[in-house]
Amino acid sequence: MSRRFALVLVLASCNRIYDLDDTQLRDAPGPDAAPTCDRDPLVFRPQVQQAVFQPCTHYSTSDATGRALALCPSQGAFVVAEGPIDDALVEVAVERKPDHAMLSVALAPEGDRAIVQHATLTGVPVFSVHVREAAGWKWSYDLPAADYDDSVGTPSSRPRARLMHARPNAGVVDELVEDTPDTWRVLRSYTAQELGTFHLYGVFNLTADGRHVVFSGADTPQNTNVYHAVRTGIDERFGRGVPVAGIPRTVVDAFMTDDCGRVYFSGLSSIFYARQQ
Amino acid sequence: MRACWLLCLGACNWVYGLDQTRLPDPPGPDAAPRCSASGALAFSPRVTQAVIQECTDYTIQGTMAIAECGSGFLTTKLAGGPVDAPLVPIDIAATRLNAHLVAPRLTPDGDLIVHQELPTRSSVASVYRRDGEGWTWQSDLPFALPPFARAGMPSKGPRRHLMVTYADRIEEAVDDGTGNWTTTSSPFGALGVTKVNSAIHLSADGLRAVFTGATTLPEVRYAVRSRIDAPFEGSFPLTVPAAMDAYLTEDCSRLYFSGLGSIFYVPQL
Repeated sequence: MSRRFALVLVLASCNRIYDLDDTQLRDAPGPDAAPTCDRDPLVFRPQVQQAVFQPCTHYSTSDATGRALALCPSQGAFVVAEGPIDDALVEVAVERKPDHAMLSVALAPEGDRAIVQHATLTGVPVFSVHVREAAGWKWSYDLPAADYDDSVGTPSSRPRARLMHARPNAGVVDELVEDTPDTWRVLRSYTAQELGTFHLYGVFNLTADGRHVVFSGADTPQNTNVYHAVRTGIDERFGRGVPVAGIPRTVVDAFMTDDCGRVYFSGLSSIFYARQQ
Repeated sequence: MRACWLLCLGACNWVYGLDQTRLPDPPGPDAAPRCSASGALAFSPRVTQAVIQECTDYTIQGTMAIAECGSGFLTTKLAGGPVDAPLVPIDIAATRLNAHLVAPRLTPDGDLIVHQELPTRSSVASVYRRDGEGWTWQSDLPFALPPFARAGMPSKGPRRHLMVTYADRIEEAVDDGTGNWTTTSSPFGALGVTKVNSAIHLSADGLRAVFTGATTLPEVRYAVRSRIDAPFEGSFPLTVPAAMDAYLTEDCSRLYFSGLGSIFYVPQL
């Protein structure tokens, strides 16, 4: 009888008695696994989602506001349009000079300011910072001077926001830092080779934490891809970019969400996103 | 009395003259695709990159597909392979001097209609037949195609129908089965659009057509007719990306198109 009692006690003892960890029944990463920015290289599913059925480009989102901005055609010109993420976009008012046409737009992670690329009569674009107001996007100031073919992508979060200013004619991408509010300076520059690409055409979009940048790259003139470069901290330099698997190869306006879960891009008169695999 | 009840309860449909009980599933997520006769076709917004190569004009016959691959004027090559698999150049040669082969259509009869495009960008549509591992020229279609005019996918032979898109009109050509073609011209308005921006691909039975057309902005559209000798009257926009080379599989299960350096498809909902 006492033997049976002892056996029951042994079998019924808990993890604490045996100094065991709790049993954990975690699913292995599967189709619904949370995205991670730590995976290197990043891989996205070849199935992409048609998110916005409008012929817009340069789609960028703000998790803070749940809103998105893009450049959309309207009556023979391009306008800035806004809407909830993955929903229809509607033209919004943007303060600009009468002779300026809009060429691109990039939304800040906070959702309260946007960088608009304006074409001018000289052919040299101007990159203007606009702030959100009740009546629309009000011009605030222009970024340092640009050259033909330059581009500016989405900035990282404030304070000390960063942004990437691509200058293909000079063969470099400048990383700018906002030391004090609305004052930017060149922090460092990258050559095309340092970013692992043959050319610097296209937009270099940063994530909110400034640790990731996606851009259109190529290892030969014929072999274009969307590239991703990463750095361990915002004060470090970016390493060489690598092609991102799963994103259509000739995309030129890739934008990655802050959790690295989605890459948005435009084409075929639509906005699509690919989800991380 | 009990035996009577038992007999009544145990009798079969045959005793009572009843039809057999049928339990068909309603159309659901796994329902077989159908080709709409009314024009109502819906496709998923989930777009699959089937072939990650810079190709256009992807068409399918059986398990094989052919497309025009590469980029740049006079540098593309016709390439083929299994459906949804990588494409490799096929063995085929132009018969016209300085011609470049573009816009292939792998037809329901298993032959290949290819445009032999000249440096002037005018072209002739030619029929090639499979010859071992390669393709051999068979005949030219009797249409002089000015720059950017394109013939679409024909219906199944021997009395093939084929639509040709010109800058200002469309023409439906009909083969009498002996290689003699007659054509009927229509304005774009016959398809309910102000502009046709692409080739018009017919289904094997010739009753359905897919093309890109515009009333304001270009969109992929679908047209149906009840008889092959009747004209198409209007068309319906499809809620799919606005590609310029949409190709609908014969069972209407998938719509293929190209863009952004890939061949994509969307499945029917």
